Amino acid sequence: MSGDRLLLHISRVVVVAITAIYLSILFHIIIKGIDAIVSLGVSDITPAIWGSLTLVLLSVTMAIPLGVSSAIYMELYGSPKIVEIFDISFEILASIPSIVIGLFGFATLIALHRYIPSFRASLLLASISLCILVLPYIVKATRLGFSETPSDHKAVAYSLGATKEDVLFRIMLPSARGQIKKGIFLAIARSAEDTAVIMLTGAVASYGFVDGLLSPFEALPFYIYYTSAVYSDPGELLSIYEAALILICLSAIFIRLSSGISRGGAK
Amino acid sequence: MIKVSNLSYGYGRKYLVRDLNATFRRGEITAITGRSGIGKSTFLKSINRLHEVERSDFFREGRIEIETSTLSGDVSSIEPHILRRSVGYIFQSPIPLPMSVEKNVSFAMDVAGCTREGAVRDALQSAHLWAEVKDRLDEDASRLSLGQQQRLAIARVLVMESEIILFDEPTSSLDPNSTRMIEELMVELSKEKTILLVSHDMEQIGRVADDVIALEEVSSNIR
Repeated sequence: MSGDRLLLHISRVVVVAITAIYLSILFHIIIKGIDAIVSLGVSDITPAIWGSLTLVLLSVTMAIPLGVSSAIYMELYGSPKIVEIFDISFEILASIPSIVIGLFGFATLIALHRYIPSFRASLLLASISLCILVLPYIVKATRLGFSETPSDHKAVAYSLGATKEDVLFRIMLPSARGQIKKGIFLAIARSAEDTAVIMLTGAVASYGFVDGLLSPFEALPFYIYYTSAVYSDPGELLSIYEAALILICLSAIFIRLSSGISRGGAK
Repeated sequence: MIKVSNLSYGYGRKYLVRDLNATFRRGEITAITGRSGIGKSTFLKSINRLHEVERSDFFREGRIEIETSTLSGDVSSIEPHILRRSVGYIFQSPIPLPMSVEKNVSFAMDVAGCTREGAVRDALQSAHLWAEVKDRLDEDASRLSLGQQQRLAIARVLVMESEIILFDEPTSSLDPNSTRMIEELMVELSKEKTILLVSHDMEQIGRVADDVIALEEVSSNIR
């Protein structure tokens, strides 16, 4: 058997095996999750669903303008030295474990609590911490999109009297749209599933519905984490699958919505 | 009109051209020739300051003064985007912007924030392209033939009503028929405008140019 054919067979087996593993996990969660929804209903985890929805929406809404603006600055205005420093900073930020970001949020909470006693672990603090966590995804995706913009198109636009801002809005951003969208998807998925950050900055096991930016909140990943550690009967164990299935569905809905928004923006 | 006085330029510490003096008048086509890499395109780009967006190590000494109905003075004293609206540039290869035929032509007006009824049609007619694209205005410009794309590039410049047009080997990637159309267009446009043409093709220069400037090697090229 030639080397090429061997490589083809190995890669085919690997792809099939990985897909089978993913599908079996997904299938398992779907079956168990539907079973749980039918037998338990969703009323127990409704506050966690709303908490997760609000959290993802807030953190990604903060991260998109900050991430895209940072990438624009680095592409159009920053000196090579500054851009290098920014690049290294975002690389480091991307590689920091989420528990460290959570710890940073927690340290901020303690520091602020000294001066503002009413400031406590809250939805706002968790959203800001998550925003920091997902910021590098959006910056890197936007930078990648800009780097893929053909330099010829930029040169033609400049030759027709375009300013930097015209080139940015009429050539670079439309061209980078696909990559920015990918960055947003990643950010959504990351902020929807992260537990380490929110457990230190605002998520609690039982609070009820989100009632303000400065209040604690429930969230699906934290519910899964907490319940799996303390469950005392099969019903509670089953509810973990319910939360997992809903978390997957929420991520899919967010990704679909952001894809629609990107397409609408393009028009 | 363009007046170049004691112009020297290059990249980094290396001169490409030294002490160039020339005057380019309205109603004439002046061809710029010279061996590859001698700085012909750089010369054109130094007139509309397009080199500034491509390379940061470009340097220029001497003066390049332009005089049009709206602008007058050394190009370094004019805002680059204002300057480029008066000094059109046609690239070596046709480069349609990733948008429709109509939006390609209206791009320059859009960025300048001005509108003029029928401007797109007038520009396409002046570029001898209207008859071929009048039913394809919403089509992606990249679907036009190379010759059509290059005439579209000329229409993009004409819509700005530029009085100076810099042609950087505009027919090097075109077939003989498209080349002939571009040459006829250049001759027609030269009646009202100042035109500079970079070309290696001596036959083409013979067909269209009123004057020729040959750029030569500099004897001492280190700054």
